[in-house]
Amino acid sequence: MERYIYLILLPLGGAFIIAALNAAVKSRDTRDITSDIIANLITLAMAGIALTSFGINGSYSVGGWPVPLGINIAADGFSILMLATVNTIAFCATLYSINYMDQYTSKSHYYSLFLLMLTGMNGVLLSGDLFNLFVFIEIASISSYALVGFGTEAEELEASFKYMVMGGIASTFILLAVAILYSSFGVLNMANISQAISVSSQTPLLKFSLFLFIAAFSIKAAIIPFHAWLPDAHPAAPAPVSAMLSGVLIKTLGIYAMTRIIMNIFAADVSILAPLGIISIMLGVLLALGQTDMKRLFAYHSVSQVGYIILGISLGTPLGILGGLFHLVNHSIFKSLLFLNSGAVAYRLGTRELNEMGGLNKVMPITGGTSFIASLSIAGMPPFNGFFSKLIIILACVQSGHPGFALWAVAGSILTLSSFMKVQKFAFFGKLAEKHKQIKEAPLMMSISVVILAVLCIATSLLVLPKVKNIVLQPAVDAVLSGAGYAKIIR
Amino acid sequence: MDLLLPIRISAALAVIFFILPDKRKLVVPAALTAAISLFIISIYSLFFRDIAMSSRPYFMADNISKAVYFLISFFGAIMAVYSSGFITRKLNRYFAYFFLTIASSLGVVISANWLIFTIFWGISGTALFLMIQLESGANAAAKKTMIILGGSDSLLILGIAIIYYATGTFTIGTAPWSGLAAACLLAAALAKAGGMPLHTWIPGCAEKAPLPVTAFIPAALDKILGIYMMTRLFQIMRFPPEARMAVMIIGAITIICAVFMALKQHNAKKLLAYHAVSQVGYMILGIASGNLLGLIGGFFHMVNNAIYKSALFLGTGQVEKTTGTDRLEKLGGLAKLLPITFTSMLIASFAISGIPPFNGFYSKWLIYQGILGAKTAKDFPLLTMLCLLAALFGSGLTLASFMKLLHAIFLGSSSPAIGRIAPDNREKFSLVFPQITLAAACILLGLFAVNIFIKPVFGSGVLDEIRGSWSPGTASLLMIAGIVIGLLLYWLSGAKTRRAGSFIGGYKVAPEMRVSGVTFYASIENIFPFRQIFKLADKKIFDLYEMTKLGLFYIIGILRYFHTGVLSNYLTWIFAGGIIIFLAL
Repeated sequence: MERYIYLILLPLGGAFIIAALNAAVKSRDTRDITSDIIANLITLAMAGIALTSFGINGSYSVGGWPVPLGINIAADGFSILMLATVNTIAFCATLYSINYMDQYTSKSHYYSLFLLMLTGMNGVLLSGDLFNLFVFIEIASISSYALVGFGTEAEELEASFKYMVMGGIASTFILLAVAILYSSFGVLNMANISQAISVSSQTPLLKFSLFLFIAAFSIKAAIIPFHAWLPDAHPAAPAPVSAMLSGVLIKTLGIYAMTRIIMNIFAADVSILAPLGIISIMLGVLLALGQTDMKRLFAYHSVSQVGYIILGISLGTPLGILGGLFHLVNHSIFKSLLFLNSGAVAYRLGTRELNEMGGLNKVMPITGGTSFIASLSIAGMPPFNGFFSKLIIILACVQSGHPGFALWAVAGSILTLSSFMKVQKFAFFGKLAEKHKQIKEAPLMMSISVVILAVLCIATSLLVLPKVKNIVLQPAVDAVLSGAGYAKIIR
Repeated sequence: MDLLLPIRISAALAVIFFILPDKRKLVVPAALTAAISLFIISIYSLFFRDIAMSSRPYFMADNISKAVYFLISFFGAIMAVYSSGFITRKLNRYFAYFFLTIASSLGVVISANWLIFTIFWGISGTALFLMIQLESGANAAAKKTMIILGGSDSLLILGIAIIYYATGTFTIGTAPWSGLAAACLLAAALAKAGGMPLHTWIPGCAEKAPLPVTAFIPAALDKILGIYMMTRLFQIMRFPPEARMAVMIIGAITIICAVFMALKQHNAKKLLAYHAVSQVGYMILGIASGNLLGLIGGFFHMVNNAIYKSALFLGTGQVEKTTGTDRLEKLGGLAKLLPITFTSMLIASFAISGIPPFNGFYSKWLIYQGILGAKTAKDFPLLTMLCLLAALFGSGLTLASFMKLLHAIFLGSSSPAIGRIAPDNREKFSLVFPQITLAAACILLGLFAVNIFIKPVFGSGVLDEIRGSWSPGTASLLMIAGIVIGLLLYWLSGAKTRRAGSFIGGYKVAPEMRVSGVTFYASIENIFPFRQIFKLADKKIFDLYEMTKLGLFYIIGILRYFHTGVLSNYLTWIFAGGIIIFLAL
């Protein structure tokens, strides 16, 4: 169980060490290279730890203080699945940053913020204590506000400000809800609260705190109509940060925390989320279809795809949750790949406007090819991973007696395909403009990073095989389904 | 070595060609060897092997599957030969996607599991997208193709989900009737085969994509797959008469509307593309009739259509290669220059117009009989007969538009541009051989349909129903006798003929004043309801894809109007949303 504590300590320590480099090392080049190496080693180690942790459940009391006095971290199937996803994507993003962040000054500041954000996310996933959950959400959120504004141009700062205001509202809601629960039960440990709620009567106060949680996490997960910060914030951030935000942050702070609290602590009915999911799917994809800014288009797709995840989970059936979680994993892979691709294009062309691109496959075959794979994945074309998770979600909708939901999911899927065919048509196929003939493929590390993610787009299809599924996805589904049984993992 | 082996081999070939450098001297021999050995292996495993026991639950091959499997392998070999002579750029990519297409198509027809079916089905659509993209300037057509085909894949998934819910298994087998599931699966089949209203990708694709791609995929393979799936759908679900009637009406409308659109085209490839849509109507009619004869007819028509339609496309490709254009008004008098192409296109035109004794007649004949005995004839006698009428009428219009095509390209006075053609642009073996093979197949399948197609595929049990109605051998003997007697009479009687130039009021006819083949048909565009209808069609009113796009962008406009970027508005949404959630909890 001790292994999990490193997932929090390593990036936290790394963040401060890299920050300290600023003072200790005078030469900028040395500082950049050292921070590159430290950050990549840390994320690589974390991805290694997270990916080898499947099946290792349990809890750990920090400092040996027993529950309910001390802080404890807890890992079940759900958190392990999320940890594996988050840390793998984080590794790809840092690998990508080696070349990409050369465009910005103060790479070391970037890495320390990045690692802090990662600390926050891993903390959220491991925390067994509501107040710590809140603290880690804040760590991740605040560092992401800073990262969104990292370019310090007008557009970035405006996006960052909006993001911060809305994120701040969400945080206040969470804090208020935590306070209500603490005042009701006198404990902060999630397992203890879960036990207490299961034997207590449903008071209006409890219901109010549930509402606060749902509203707050809907903001964090960017579910329509709480999504308005996302289309500004995600495109404004540097590409690897966009990949992290769209790929894993909204899922960790939004979906993971919401599912954990509604299903495992309150053991409440989740069917209220289904309409939210469908609205997000449809409006998100329609808004994406109208965009000509590549990253903004991708950002709206995040809203739409999160809708699919929410729809799957809100069905509440084992198959629905399986589909939702599977789609969550897949979406983090292909969406971060897409954002990294858009970064590669912007790195070489200096624009995100689709109308100014065209024929890029001829000069950037790796970027073009991987983005084609990612486009097919997100559109749910076989044999890529998105196909299987959408299939499971649609199956689950029909199986749980909601063919109408399935119809919306299918409509969303067709529109997703349409808008990605638009991206492919405008950016990668067709005629290459004269002024772009001299462009080269993205630098080595950026290319390696996208190739890893493209391979993962195909490889994660295998998660659907029963043998693999039982190790990776099934424990997560069981953990979500166990409801208040979550309390049992605390010893 | 079983039926899965060719699929594995061609998937491996796809990877190999993807990696090969784009050197013509290397790729062409490699592709020819590969395609022909693949064909031989497929035939061997088809006749002497079956599906290995280990893969039985997921794959199966009954006679229908085997017939289609044979057809796909056959087209693979033929088209590889043609493409090797036709395509000049990016050959390595072309053949990579080519073999990917073959692998996925073969996979579709022998899969016994809906999931595996869908995966192969989707891959074949993606491969088509990539092949269209090989021609620069085709990206809009490719996008539309992919959206329609890929979108129908999503519907396919929904259909499968409903079937899975009803039967509890993904194995392709009998399923209870469900309107939604049938509609979804039918939409996927129609999109692939090109039935209305999901046909609109085909004309664009034919116009822009490299020609062998059009001849291979939309004209042959996708028809085969779409109609194969439809056949299966009608096998596994018991359609009520209303649904049957609806499908038959779709078929009838497809025949008539598409053939009218074909009639007005001035572009050879687009003309053929509309016929590719129109012919699907016959197959739909035959299969949906629910009569055994109709089913055999529809299925047989699919086989025939693949053969003559790709022969026509290949001929057009030869014309385009020689003259550099496929605009009908710029062509004319090519029969002397391209005699083999002319002959094979003539045969294929007769076959598509349903002139006996060619194969197209045989299958249309079966379809007509099928409609007469259709299961809907009792409940909806009038509509069923209207469908029959549409089929008969469509056949005549098909002939008319092919007379236009042949006349405009091969007969009439030659256009000024034709005279300057270099001799090395004339008929090459690699371009002509596939045409000869396909034209020969049109004749053989017409004359010996019973022995080489119907008996092996559907068994000799069905023969009793057919035998009495049409005997191609005797009939063609009589027809040939009639023609010979006519010629003899002509020669023996010594009738005099003379040739005279056109008389235009005493002026000399200059070369640029020649009458092109398309002018005769211009009048149809100006008659009362057609003129108005064609005008609407030009505005794409009948294009489901374009209309949906228009509607969606209207909604998007509204949505974007609300995204002002003003923070306080966004905060209002949050509170409004919060209140709704609070009330709903």
